[in-house]
Amino acid sequence: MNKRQIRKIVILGGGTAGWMTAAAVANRLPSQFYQIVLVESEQIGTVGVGESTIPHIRQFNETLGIDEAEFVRETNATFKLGIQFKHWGKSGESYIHPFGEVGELTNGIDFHHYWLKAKSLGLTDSLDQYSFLAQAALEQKFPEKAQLKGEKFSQYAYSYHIDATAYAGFLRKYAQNKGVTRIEGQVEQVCNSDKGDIESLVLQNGQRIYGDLFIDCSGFRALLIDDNLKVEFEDWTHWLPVNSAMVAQTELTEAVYPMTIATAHKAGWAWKIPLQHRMGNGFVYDNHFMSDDEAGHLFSQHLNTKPINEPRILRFKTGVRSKLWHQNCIAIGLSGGFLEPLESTSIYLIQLGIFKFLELFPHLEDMSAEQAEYNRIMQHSYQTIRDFIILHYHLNQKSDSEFWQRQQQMSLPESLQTRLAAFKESGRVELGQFGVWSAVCIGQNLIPKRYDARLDWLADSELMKFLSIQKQQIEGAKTKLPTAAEYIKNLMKQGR
Amino acid sequence: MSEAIKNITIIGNQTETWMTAILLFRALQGRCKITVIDNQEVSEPATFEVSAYFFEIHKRFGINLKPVSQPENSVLFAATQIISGQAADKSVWLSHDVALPQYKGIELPHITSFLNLPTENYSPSIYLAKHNKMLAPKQFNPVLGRYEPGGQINGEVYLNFLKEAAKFVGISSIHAAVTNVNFDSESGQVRQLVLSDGQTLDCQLVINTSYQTRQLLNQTQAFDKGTQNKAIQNTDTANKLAFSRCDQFIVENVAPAKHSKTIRRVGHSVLSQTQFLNKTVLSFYSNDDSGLNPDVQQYLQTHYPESNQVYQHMQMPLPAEPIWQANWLDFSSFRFTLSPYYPASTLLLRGVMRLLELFPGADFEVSNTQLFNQQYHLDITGFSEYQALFNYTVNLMFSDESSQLSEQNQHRLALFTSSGKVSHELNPMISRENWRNLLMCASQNQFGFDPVLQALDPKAMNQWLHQLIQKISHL
Ligand SMILES: Cc1cc2nc3c(=O)[nH]c(=O)nc-3n(C[C@H](O)[C@H](O)[C@H](O)COP(=O)(O)OP(=O)(O)OC[C@H]3O[C@@H](n4cnc5c(N)ncnc54)[C@H](O)[C@@H]3O)c2cc1C
Repeated sequence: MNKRQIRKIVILGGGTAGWMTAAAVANRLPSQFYQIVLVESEQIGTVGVGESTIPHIRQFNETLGIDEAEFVRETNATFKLGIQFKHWGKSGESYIHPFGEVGELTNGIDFHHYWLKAKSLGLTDSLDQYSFLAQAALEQKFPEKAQLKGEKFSQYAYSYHIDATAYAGFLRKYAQNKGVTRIEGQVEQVCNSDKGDIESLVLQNGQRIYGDLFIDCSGFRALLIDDNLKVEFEDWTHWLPVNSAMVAQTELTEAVYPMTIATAHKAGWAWKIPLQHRMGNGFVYDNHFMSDDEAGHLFSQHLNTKPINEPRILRFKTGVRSKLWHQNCIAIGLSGGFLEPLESTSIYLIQLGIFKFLELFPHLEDMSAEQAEYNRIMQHSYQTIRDFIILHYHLNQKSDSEFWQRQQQMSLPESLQTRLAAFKESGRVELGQFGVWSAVCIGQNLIPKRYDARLDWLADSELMKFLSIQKQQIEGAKTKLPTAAEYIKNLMKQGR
Repeated sequence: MSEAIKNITIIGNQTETWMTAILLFRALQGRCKITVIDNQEVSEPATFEVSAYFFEIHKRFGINLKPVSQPENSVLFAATQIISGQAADKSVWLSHDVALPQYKGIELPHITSFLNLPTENYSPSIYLAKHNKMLAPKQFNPVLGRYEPGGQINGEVYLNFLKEAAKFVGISSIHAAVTNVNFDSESGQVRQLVLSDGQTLDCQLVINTSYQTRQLLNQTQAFDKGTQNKAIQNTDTANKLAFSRCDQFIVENVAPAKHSKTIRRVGHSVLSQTQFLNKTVLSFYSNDDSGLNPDVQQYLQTHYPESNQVYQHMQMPLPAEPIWQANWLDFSSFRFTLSPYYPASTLLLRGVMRLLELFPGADFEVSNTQLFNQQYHLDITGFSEYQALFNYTVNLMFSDESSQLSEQNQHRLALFTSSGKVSHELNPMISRENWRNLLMCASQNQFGFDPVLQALDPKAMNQWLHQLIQKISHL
């Protein structure tokens, strides 16, 4: 009962990571007992990107009791059913990685095995033609929950595209309403105790901010975890070498589609993220293979319209801290690690970091067991996602670019090698892994050599009938859907 | 493209053999011919332990366990009592709660730990066990959470049920032992089994559940099987499958069924005791390869002079080789009486389910096999770790002597002791709730709590607990 307790938490940084942390911590920890302070510097500003998410964010919102309509209104959000990858296999091809599984497990056999067998019999449909979500997304439609009740595909998963700056602002309001104190100022000095813990932050104006526990959300600067505590950064650039992004916003020139578009180019890829009021664009590249000038040129071609703001260049390095929680400091967000946004996973990792921290909320006296657990789980998650992203690069089949050829030939982490070998040979992938591996592998033409041999017990005609029923069901369900834009409009009108 | 497997040969005549046969038959919808080489190496435990998973899997494949579930053939229990071998009054209860009531989003054990109250008194499943009651999980007041009773079922009745069912669905059996195995020298695959009746049987997929045949199969080590499966070696977990011997005794009686299981140390053995409608079953587990432990003999003479030994079996350690090699799987280690602590039937069922998930084609593609071994290895490791922590707890109760814990178990215990948190399992073979329940015992109910509780009003918590205990007492 008498262990020393944390009473004051100081969050350094007011980007997406900082305000998500502040909001979730304030929601969880009673304000009469815990003091939560967030320090940010308007002068430094935030990274200003991070606009595509995965479905887990809905859990975050639910936990915080955030109303969906309000969230969508305040963050200018649109809905997302997956990612369309253009030119990732061979140039000219595209596929969709939808949320949720493609097709259903039938008689204990994953749907893609049915598709594989049909393909061996001459079927020419792509796998994503059997994904309800992918097909809805392609027609810019979005499933209305009530419309689909009781139907086969009602269990769909979706997420949002959000305006990053508006999102931080939205959460800031939420957090401040729950008692979080915001301090504007630039941290100039970090003071430590004899034990090596962080004791206080000193701002430019001399103000000193003490705390029991510090959360480093200072972005790429990593002021606490790196500058002060010197926690090593595990560099993964040999697997994921892109290191630059040019970003700009444009006006919406097309209908809102409920997916992120990721288009490969000769030394990286470019994104388009539609919001209600504008398009977010980015051009990701490896500057060893493409100069900033060339990137700028190609980016403006990609935009196809004049940007609203001047394009900015961001530099980054892929990897993760060897420990995300060290001493009395936890690194959440870009300070802890960076995985490029190809599968929109950074905000998810922020969320995971926050929830794990709250789940493992420690006593002040000895937090070593909680730390060890936190670091173990976070490392595992970073690595799993890393492998999934490497997979996209490695499976390209482009022959006209040195960048992509190097990706084809790179040596893979062992964990990925094993997983890939199994999929390549027998179409098997362990359940419960992050992302829909079969959609990405098959989308990029890694067609397993074998389908589940049990399908030979199913007559060819039966199989074809089964597939055509699947397609009919998708067609049938699709006709009832509103467009994504209508869906948003209705949601806001009804305030659901 | 690989062809579908047309026949499966299962070697052995154990309960484990027939269960595997029936489940595969149902899951494969009778599309594979299944032959059991019934080698008369009978191993038929008087009773064995099952979990909710056991019932669930049978149900999933349309196997109606009604005949086995009659009260004289099965007993359900709500909790397990771990009794000190020395002072009979010293015990801890292992609950079967799988969802506990929460106060402001914080699970019950944190509240009781914070208020310094005995958690056992607030566990619905322990309450049921202490009061010798049994409720179907569906009848349980959801405000109190959820629990999953454990069960013990009659081995003989279940075996007969399986054999009948096998006959009914057309699973063929050959009464003979395997005397030799012909391997394909290149692939290491079993091509033929030579039987004691002179027959030679061609094989595709072979599943072994027999000790005798295991030796024959392991001859393949003589062949170079390339790098297949090299990554998985079971040696570390093999040592943790702690007990090499199980002896079961029955005492006939007319006492009512007892809805709890007890575990205690008897000398160097561990005794697991359950009581059916008309009999008490005593299962002793030990590492005594020489014979029945004198402490056990003494214990029986003192307490149960009328008992009859009904089953004895020596447990083989896990093979150091992976479970699945080439075209054969060796399930012979996973006897239902493998552990006094955890229903080993779950472990075997898990293996069968993994086989179905990764069901091979006739070419037995290697990476598929590797994936199976990798995944099943995690299951076995989870089981071994759980068993080791349970053993530690029993030792602690017996003599305050603690056995060495693995690094992971030390971490689990440290985290739980620090703030009552349960370490996240990357493989959910043992559920979080099972770990939590065991960790409460392993820490002798001296575990930490979520510090957030400091910010809440203890009076309101006490009130909540008071209401809770009233609801529990209405069970
Ligand atoms: C090109 C690119 C594209 C991305 N796209 C996606 C995406 O689609 N989906 C996704 O999930 N993620 C994406 N991410 C990641 C995502 O942007 C970040 O994870 C997210 O924005 C969190 O950033 P942050 O809060 O850690 O850092 P920042 O936004 O950089 O915030 C840092 C904060 O620290 C403060 N600060 C720093 N130093 C000091 C100091 N000395 N004193 C006071 N305050 C200080 C700053 O003022 C700022 O408030 C992308 C990242 C990049 C680089």
